[in-house]
Amino acid sequence: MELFNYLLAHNYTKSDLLESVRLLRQAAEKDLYSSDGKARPVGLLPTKLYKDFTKEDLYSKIKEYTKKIKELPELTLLLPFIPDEPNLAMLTNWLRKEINTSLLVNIKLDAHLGAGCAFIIDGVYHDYSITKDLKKYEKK
Amino acid sequence: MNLPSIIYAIILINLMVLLAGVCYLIYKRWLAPQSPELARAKSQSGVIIHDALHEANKVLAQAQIEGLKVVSQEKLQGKHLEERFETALEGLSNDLTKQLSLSVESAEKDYEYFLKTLEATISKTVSANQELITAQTKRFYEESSKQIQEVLNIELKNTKKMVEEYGKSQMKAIDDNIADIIDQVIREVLSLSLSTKDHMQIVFKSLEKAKKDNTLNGII
Repeated sequence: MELFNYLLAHNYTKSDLLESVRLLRQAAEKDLYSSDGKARPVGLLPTKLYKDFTKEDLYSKIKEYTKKIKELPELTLLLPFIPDEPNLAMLTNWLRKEINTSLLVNIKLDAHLGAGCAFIIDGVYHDYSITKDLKKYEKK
Repeated sequence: MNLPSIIYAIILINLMVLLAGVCYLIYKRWLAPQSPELARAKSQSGVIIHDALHEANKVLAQAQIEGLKVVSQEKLQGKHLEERFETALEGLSNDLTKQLSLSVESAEKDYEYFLKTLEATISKTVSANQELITAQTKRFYEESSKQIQEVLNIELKNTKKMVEEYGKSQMKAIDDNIADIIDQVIREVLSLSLSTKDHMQIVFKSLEKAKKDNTLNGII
């Protein structure tokens, strides 16, 4: 579980997380099936995280991770801008701290929001943007 | 003797008896000698018939004379009657002519009076009709004016209402457009003027508000 928590801590979207698992499988395969039998670090993943993989349980563990990732809660967040990596991390960490520790985000761009954000939970759209506030004033 | 011979004999006997009867009757009627009473009666009847004929001729002659008298009298009386009839007819004709003249005069007078009366009546009727038509025309004109005025008032009211509604709708459209323009301007200004840091601050404020509203609690 250490490996999964590591992956979760460094990935904020479901697609990134699945991509990381794919890379992990690729790295483990290279380690396990290389001709000299020496493990090589792949990408950013520390070697110690996947050194416990064996030829017998590699694919079952990968399958288990993939299943877990798909079951994780996800918040579709609509923003008027595309946040960069640090801002995305800040945003996701805040959500994990305040709402759910294993939450993933799905960022969508919506320029009509102006400022603020909107999100979709269980198919229901919640608007917390400035545009909505302006519309409230218009009605008044 | 046979039966036909007997029948012929009986018929012959009957014929002979019949012939004897006829001969007797002829004798009694023309050939037998007359009695003296019968001869005297015949002469007396001849005298009587002669006297009767004589008297009848006399009566007939008298009747003819009387008839001629009557005819002559009738002729005389006829002439007299004719003269009287002519006289009476002439008098009657004169009287009738006079009466006819009088009647004609009277009829002319009556006709003139009738014409005058008719003229007066027509004049009165025409005047009355003119007054009636004038009154009806006036009433019709007044009613029409009133109706037209009412219709115009309604149309004017509807038009004013439509104009007001149109004005309102136009104002609303302008307001909406203004709101849209302001919206768009604000969005443009925000997108140009806000930095990523500012955006992030506003996003966090929005998320704080959502958390406060318990909207984010729906996430499992």
